[in-house]
Amino acid sequence: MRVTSDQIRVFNKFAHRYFGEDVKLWLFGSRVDDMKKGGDYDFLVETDLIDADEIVERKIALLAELQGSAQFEDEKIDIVVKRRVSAFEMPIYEVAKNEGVRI
Amino acid sequence: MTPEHSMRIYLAECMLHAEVLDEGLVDAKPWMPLSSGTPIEKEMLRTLDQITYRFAKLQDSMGEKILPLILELAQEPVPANATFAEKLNRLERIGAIPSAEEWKKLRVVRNALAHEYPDDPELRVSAINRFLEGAGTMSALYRFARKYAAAHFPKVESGG
Repeated sequence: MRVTSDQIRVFNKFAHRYFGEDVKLWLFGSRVDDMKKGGDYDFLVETDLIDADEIVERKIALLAELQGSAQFEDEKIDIVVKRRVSAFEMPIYEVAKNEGVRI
Repeated sequence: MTPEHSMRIYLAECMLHAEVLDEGLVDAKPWMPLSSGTPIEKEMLRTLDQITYRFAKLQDSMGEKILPLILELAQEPVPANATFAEKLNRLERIGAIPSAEEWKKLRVVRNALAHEYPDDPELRVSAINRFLEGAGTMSALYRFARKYAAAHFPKVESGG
């Protein structure tokens, strides 16, 4: 994994703040691959929240918080939110869980 | 060039972005807010592209040119090594922008459509609606700062 323990800690802290204590988190994409260089930070956030507008608002607040942190300054972060209870099962959820790392 | 002269040029540059942004929002009005299931037609995409472009241009120009110049003209003592976040807080305190927090969120909101992974369609629709709302906020924020400049730096308006 090409993330620092400090980055994981900060992501965990803010993800829990905005999405609640029961949130489950994964890091996936190129940052999981030790052989690659650079790249975006891709996270999957699984939440019990249902309301789409509320989720989008919290995701924006989380990203703004992360981009304002010293740990993720100037980095590109992509967050995929999966609703635990949802009619939509997007392929990326399985990919992120299978190829990613739970953090 | 005096700082007042520079400010006048920057305000005019941003006014163009804000006006084209507003025109995009007028075009978007008939289908706002989107509801899930509404197909995104090509014409809507063109409008969204226009708004995305001017939204980013307006925020970048304001952040790089107008906001630092407001601090300079207001003679606010900001340390040379101050972070942009610190400058935003100062701008909020003197009343030049309504909210530093909102500004930071707008930086995220404007990229909300450039999402790399296909999202749950309901979340995508919410993101587009939030994006359009944010574009309106960005335009209003520019007018707010412009009003502040006119009220506090008379030489900007008079051409002095």
